[in-house]
Amino acid sequence: MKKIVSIVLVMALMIFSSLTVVKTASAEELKMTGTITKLVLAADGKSATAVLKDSKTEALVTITVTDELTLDKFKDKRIVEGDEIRTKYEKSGDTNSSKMFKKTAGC
Amino acid sequence: MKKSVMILFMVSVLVLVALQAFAGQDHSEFVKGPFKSGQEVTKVCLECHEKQAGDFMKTSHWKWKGTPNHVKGMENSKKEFGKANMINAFCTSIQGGKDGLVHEACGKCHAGYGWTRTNYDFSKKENVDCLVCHSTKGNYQRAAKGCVVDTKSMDRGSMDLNLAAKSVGLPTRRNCGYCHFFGGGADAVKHAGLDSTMEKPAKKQDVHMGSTATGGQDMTCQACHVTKDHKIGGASSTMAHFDSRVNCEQCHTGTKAPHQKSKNGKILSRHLAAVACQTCHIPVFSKEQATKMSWKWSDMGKDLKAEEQFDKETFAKKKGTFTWGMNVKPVYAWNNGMIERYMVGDKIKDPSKTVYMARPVGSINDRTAKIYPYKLFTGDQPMDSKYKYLSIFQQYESLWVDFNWDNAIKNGAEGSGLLYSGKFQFVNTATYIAAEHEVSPKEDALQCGECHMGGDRMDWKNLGYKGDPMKFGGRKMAGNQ
Repeated sequence: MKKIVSIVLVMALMIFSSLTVVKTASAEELKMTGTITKLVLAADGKSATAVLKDSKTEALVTITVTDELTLDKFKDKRIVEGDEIRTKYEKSGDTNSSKMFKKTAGC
Repeated sequence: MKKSVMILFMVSVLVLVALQAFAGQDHSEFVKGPFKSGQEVTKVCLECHEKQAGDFMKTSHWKWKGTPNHVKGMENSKKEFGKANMINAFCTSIQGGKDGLVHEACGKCHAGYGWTRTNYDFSKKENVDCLVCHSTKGNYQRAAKGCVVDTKSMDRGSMDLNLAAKSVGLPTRRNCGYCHFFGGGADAVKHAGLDSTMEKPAKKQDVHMGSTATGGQDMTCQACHVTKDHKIGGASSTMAHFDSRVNCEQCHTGTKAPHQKSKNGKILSRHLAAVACQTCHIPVFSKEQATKMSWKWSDMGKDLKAEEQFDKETFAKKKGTFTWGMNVKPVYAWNNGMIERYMVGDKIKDPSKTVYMARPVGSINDRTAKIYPYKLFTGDQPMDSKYKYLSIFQQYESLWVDFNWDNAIKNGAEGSGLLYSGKFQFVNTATYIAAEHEVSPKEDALQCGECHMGGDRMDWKNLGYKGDPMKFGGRKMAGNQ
């Protein structure tokens, strides 16, 4: 009996810890459309942070951008503060990492 | 020995000089500024490049039309056709509206200044926009409306017209992409595998244009779209005119002929009589961003809920409903180099059937035809119920203001010259758009089993075969020769 209880406890512990690990490791993917209120390019040019004002909730969300194509657009001012952006980002802890960062413009 | 070294030295110097010239002269000394308008820049360009402006003004990039040498049945026509006077299944036409009102918006992608109305003087060289194709710095932008330089971008400091003017050089992918990545009105809408992600693709996305860092060739557009006197090579699968064609054989011939090192080289090369290179080497398109696959204008103005497909909206009240595709498997069709094209005013015999806006000409019986890959774009758009032709409607100053089709077609008729009977209906349309970009590395090319031995990529019967040619025989055995 003791053995069965031990096995069940060990299994429960394993399931619990694996779920905890998954929760910690997995990042939430979110989408939003919003206007850039602040855009700061890192000194080494390899990343940037953009603060977007969510068009639905008006909440301010800071997103880190590291992809080269978008960074190029920041550098030569094709994307600037005031532009409306459609973005997809991964939220992991306090960091929101951009997966897609595009201007909404189009006719 | 000394003589040989001398000759070698001289040749090296000549090559270096030639390369320097090819790479483009530094213009910053000649182009001083300051400039406030595009025409001011062009006037400076004309001081040395008047001939080039004259050459450019003979091209379809300037005229937005040319003789319809691409359209079956119209090869000998002297009348010119192009974006200026054709209709498509996207935003449809630039003719909708009194005096060509819509030009002022669509003209953002005309490589010239001031074409805001139908009556435009195409003879003024100072209206050529050199910068949209040649500026390499300064974030040159054209305004969304008005066919001018975007002064708003200048005011807010995101564009430097002087730097743009000083930085002129050979076009980069970004220059061409300024318009061509955004065909159909926005990023990735129209073309198969030609969108803003192609500005800096990885080799996996496009073996030719892929960055060198990823093992690609980092080729410019004009490396394939060979240009002479500003006439840019390439025959769009939906347009009436071309100046010259682009072929893989431009490079892949002789010692660079394909499949030489392949263990199945002979079998693969036999395919070339019936299968275009693109068919195997572009197994999917729109690898990094979804492209629009359908557009139902009939849903315009409705209050539908927009869903998301590949991160893009499936409905916009102004435009109707859409579907999107990513990593799309092409459809396949025979093509002998010509197209069938719906032209403005063509009568629709049976409105219950799909109207083909553009489709390739060719069949299994046509020895000059090969099987090519296409994006099959479908949708619907309005047709005049009495006159039985596709209607040209005014979008942004009419339809997008009151969502009223009747008004939009009435207003559109004023620009197009097509009479409006007062009654309209929607007809289904389809367009074959050639998949020509995003050529995959050879390891990602189609394998035999994708098409043969049970592979379902090809609809063999629809292509005219009795079945898989590996089982039933090729074109000769198809019983049609």
